[in-house]
Amino acid sequence: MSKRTEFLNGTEAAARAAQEVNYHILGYFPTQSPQFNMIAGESDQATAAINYGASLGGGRVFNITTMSGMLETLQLQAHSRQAMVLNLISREDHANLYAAFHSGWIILLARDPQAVYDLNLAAVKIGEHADIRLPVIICYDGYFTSEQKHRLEILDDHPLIQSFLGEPPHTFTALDPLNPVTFGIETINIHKQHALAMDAARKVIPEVLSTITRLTGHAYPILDAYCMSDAEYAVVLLNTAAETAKDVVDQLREQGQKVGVLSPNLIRPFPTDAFRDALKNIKVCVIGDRADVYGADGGNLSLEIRAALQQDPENNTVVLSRIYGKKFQERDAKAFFKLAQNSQDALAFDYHGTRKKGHHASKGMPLIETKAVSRNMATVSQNPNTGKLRVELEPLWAMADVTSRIAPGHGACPGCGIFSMLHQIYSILEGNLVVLFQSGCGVMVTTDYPKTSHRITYIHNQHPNGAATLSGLVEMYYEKVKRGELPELSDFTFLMITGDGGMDMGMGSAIGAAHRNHRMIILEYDNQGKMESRGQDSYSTPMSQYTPYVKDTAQIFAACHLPYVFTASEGFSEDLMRKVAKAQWYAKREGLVYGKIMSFCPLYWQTPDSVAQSVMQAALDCTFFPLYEVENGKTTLTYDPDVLGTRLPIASWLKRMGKTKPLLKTQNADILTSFETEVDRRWKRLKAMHEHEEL
Amino acid sequence: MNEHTILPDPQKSFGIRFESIVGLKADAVAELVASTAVLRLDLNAVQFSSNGIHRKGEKQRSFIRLSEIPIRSTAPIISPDVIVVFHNALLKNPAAIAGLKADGILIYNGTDIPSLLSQIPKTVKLIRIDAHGIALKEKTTVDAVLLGTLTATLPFLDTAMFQSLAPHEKAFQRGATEFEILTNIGTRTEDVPIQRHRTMSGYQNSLIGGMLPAIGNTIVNNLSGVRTQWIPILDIEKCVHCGICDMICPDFCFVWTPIENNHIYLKGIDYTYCKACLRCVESCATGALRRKAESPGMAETLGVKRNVI
Repeated sequence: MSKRTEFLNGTEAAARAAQEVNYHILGYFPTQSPQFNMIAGESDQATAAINYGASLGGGRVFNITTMSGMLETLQLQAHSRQAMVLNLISREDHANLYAAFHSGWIILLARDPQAVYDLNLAAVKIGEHADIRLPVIICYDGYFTSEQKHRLEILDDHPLIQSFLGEPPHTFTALDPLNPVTFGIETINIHKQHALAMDAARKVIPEVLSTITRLTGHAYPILDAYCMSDAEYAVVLLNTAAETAKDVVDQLREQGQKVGVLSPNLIRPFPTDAFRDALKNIKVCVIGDRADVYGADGGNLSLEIRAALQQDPENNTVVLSRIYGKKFQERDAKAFFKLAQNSQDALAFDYHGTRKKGHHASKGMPLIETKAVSRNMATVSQNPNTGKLRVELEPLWAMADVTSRIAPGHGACPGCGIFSMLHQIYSILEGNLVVLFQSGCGVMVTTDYPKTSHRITYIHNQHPNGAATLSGLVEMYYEKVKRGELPELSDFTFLMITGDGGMDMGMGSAIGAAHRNHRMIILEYDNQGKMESRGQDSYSTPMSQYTPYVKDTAQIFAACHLPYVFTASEGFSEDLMRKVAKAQWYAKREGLVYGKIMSFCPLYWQTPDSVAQSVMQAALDCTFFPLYEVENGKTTLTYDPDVLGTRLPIASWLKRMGKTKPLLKTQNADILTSFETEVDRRWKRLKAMHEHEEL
Repeated sequence: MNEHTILPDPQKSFGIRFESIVGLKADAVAELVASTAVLRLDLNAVQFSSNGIHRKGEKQRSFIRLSEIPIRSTAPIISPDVIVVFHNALLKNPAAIAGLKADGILIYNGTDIPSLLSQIPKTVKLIRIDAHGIALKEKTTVDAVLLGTLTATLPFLDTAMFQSLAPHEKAFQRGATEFEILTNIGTRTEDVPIQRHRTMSGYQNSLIGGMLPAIGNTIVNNLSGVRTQWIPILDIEKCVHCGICDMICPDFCFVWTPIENNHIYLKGIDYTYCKACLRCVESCATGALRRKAESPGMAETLGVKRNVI
């Protein structure tokens, strides 16, 4: 078999294998009863998040749910016996891997990028085997294996790989009009079949892995045993931690210590017999888990190994369970071996690498008094006849005296628009503010525990849950006011900040909150990418791989018939601040407000850090980013380059950014034209809405 | 794998650590060196960088582990054989030289001799290169220059092989030839002690649930190290105190006088937090804000301290 050497990280290795397999499709990336203050979430996940938010408000909460979510999806895929491959990159702890233990999938573990590549080929063959027909997870350590680049060997013989993989199984499909099928039914007998398939997998997997060894020259025993044949003390670890421990074994063996390392390459089905055999003559083994099964007196791996050993009446191995953190280094492995050899008084279960007493957080800044932020920088008045709001702004220089709710010293990139935007918003919003940030750059650069840049109460939640969580807190506030447990004067405004594609994953939750019309504000900083994950495209990316143009979130929220929806730019402060003043007015009186705010991102846009103003102005003038508001259904443009005579062709915006410059090349003329046509169509549509009372 | 050995010790891995700032492309240089070691020198290599997210101006460490035997470790390199410092300001922090071996090599970008260097071992090979000056002249970035210096310093990295791969050939060549070897700077007799990152929290005295009752305590941070070249300078004579700079400054650096006669006036800039994005310079309508190349002490002389209110 011819091979070639490459230098790749784990995810790249998986991509190479996927290329070889030639997959058709690669996919990446929810009620209850009366009497109470009930919030019907749009999904089970949302109900959990609503309760989380409500609970943060200091009251008692209750939930009824079936927990439909990722885990159940995985289980259904396995019960339905659909062979497919999932590369699971385990996070800081192995909690997501351990959750997958209950998914019914076969789970292979890949300790380095070479294993990622090799096992991705094996996984197809295993999952599609006639006796198995199950989906297969290949799990490897996030950051270490997924990102670190290694030397590895790629098989350079496409026909041979194809003949190894063979044809996908012929079975019922949902694309066969002659054989209609009902999919997705479960009974206990279907579950028994599933269990039998796992049994079959115990036999088939070693066969497939030995074929892989023949092809690649790399050995993948079910249980990787390092220096175990004469060992008296062992540690059991998964993935990269086991590799670190092997280096330590080499050192300790030189000193004559009889130590070894066990680490499984297969964890579902669990290699029970292999563990029992390998530990037969071991006096003490220390089992390291990166995630705890809280309250079970041991990490998951240790519980399963104990169960395996229990079936051997002659086994006398002492099993110690330790939970360790993300960074497992040589000194940690040394500590494990030392523990194994001095186990007389050791606790059967404990954590490793924790710290009793840490530093106290530095004190930071004084508490902000409400009067220091309620400075009437914007005065909102309602026309009694038309119901329309009018906003008077103080001059910008006067706002410099408003105490900021966010502290300097945050770690954002130079020029980051999130903070200019926050500064402008916070100059206007009055009274007490609770802010929730959905995952994104804004979170990562303001909260580096035990430091925070926030001077007001701040909550973080993930993309799919932010709006639901904040809505729970909003309702807790009004319920507490109603019961007289909080004074009405506490005058809270609830603000959610999202961005970095937060309205992709977070859309379900936000639409749910919008339809329930909670009194809160959702502001999205639109930097056009997912910057917290190093600039992936999002649905807000113009001409991205996801959406040909750009997802029009403002129009989606307008279609929810909210009291107030707006777009703004942090490069046009006065316009933004007028809209923020209205937002607070509506959020306190009528319900949910959504605002999308263009926000400078020199890293992603590939511009100098200083040119925010000119780039964002060009985005307004070419009508890519129209500024408007939808107030109780009525659309009003607040900046019209046609009227002002500042209209520019779209190229004059695109040429200012490194990421879009290539579009101006002649070979991309078609893409440019279709983009310009779409931008123009949306602009004309908005203008029609602006001009027509009922649109 | 190779028949003959290349690395100084064929039984051990050889560790190279780049001390840099995101944007200076140390990660790209590291990848180039490591991939070339694998693909052309037939060595084993592992390469990775320290920062999880990619923020411009953030301190970034890149690691290259080279070896003739398979590499198992995924840990950061805490006692490197070679350290390359991509930006002079990083030599204000002892972390930059932590763990340097007594027989190691330290390459740094600069024209001065930072006081920290007295703490390196006497036996370290200390190499200075004005990468910044060369990069400015050649209209490129420091990465090409430092790659040149590194390959010229390490006998097992073939300079000629890297020249064609370098991001800028002339800068690479100047880096490979214009460095100076400094002697009699270090005073230490053994390895520089290693520095471990310790978690700040403890389970007995942290609040449960990761709750943090602090208020804006990032104010104690000093971000001056993020500025790599320029600094915004205020000419108060030209200032009309309109407040636009304050509105768009992402780092809240502008300092104002208290209200007097119903007006407040811009006093100056607190450079502690200034990352020199220069958005204020772009937005200043009167030219009161200009950019200047930052020289040592400039921020301290021209800066105004922000009141903690």
